[in-house]
Amino acid sequence: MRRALIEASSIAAFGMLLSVSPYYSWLFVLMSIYALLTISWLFMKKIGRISIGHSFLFGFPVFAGSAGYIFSTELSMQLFLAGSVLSFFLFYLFSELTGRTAFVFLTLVFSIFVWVASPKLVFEKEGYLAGGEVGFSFPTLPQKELHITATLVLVLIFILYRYVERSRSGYFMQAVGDDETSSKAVGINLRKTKALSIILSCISAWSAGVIYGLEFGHISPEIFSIEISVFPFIASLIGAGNPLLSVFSSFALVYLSKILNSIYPGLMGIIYSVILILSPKIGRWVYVKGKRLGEKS
Amino acid sequence: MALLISINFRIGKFLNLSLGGLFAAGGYIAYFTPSPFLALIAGAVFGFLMASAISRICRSIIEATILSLGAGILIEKGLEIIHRSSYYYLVSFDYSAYLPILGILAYLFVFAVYLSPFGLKMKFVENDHELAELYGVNTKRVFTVTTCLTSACAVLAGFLSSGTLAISPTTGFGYLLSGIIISALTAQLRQVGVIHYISLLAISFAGVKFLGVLL
Repeated sequence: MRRALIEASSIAAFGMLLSVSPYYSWLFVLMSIYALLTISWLFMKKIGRISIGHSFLFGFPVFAGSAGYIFSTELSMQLFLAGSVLSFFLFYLFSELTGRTAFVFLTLVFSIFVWVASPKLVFEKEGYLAGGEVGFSFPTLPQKELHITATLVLVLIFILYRYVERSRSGYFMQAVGDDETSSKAVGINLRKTKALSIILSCISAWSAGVIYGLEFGHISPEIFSIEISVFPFIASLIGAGNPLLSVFSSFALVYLSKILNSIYPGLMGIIYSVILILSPKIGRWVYVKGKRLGEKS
Repeated sequence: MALLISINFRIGKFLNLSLGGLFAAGGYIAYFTPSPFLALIAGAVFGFLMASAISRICRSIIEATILSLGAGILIEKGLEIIHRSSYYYLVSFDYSAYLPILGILAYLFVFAVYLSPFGLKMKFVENDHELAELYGVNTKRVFTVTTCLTSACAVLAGFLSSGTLAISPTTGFGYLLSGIIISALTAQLRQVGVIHYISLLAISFAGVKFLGVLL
């Protein structure tokens, strides 16, 4: 727990460092959103489920909430809750119905489906059309408050991840991730363990989605894009699956994408695709390096 | 698209997610250099490169699928960077009338291949990849040929459909998605060889008749 607190302090310190200018404060909030998404992905990976459609968990509740926001705040909150429950239920169902390989395909196909289908959602209110490829508006928060909120949420969820990792439930999750049949044989309740892991993953992804909405004041179908879906996979790959390194690799990727996209729009997409193509090699290299480091220490 | 995805998954043993990008690339080839041969060659070369990369660095279905996703995003982003405009419309000519012919030819080709000695090897790989390798079938060659042909066909399908589409880097995703759903539904019937592809054709027709091309 002490180690978790030190690591969380380093994240908070980094957040404080970037609060010096409005641009870096805005950037840190964006970094926190993606880092939360990465932690959410790591929670799901604990039970051996690799999601390549994490943009659905991240975007669906907030997209539903923003669709309701054009009518009333109450409807927005109700739709957000409904979207949250539905997204959890679907991912839980996917994990129950499919094996590891099929889960990857199903989450990816499902997120692409929502990405392609969401621009078809158009509402009319008082003669104005809302939705489509443009999306819906969402309430915003002043930058300073948003910065503090994002930092607090990120730090708390990071501590929660580290706590769960070392808890009894965390070891159960690890066992389920290693071998489902063996863990069932030793008496681990598979359904309960999977549900716990997915709900924790959802909480992290939903928080990221809400902060995303508050940061931009607008939610478009691009929230379901493939780039967002593959982001946590790439960040975790670069961070070698270590939670702290994954958080900082998320920060680095967001910063790099801002630099590269300002040089030439879309350039970061090329980097993502090259990392995905080389991911088997990178994954094995990182694994071997990590093992050697472990042997030395 | 369902046929291409299904062939790739059953013989190549991975879900080829680059087919959507290749389909979009076919549309751009039709707009800028309207040569179907160029479309075929470009697709085959890309397929060969991807098959070589998969053979060299991937050890599982998931790794190969993620590599193909990366390849698909590479095509999409490449097209986005090169062609800044959002959409292109092909108004000077329309090849879409040839699309049903391509479909029929593709099916006839698949049936002909399955009846040939090479098709027997393909069926063997489809049924049991490891056993086929043990019995001396060159599975790597079967995999490379399959990936090249499916990639070339995806580019050609995009080329021929270009007249009816707003050409953009993401054009192929709807078709890719429809294809995955159709091939996943057909896979539930647990058939092999030619019978599987006939069922796939029937389900594709039923899907288009009742639901239309998805999105």
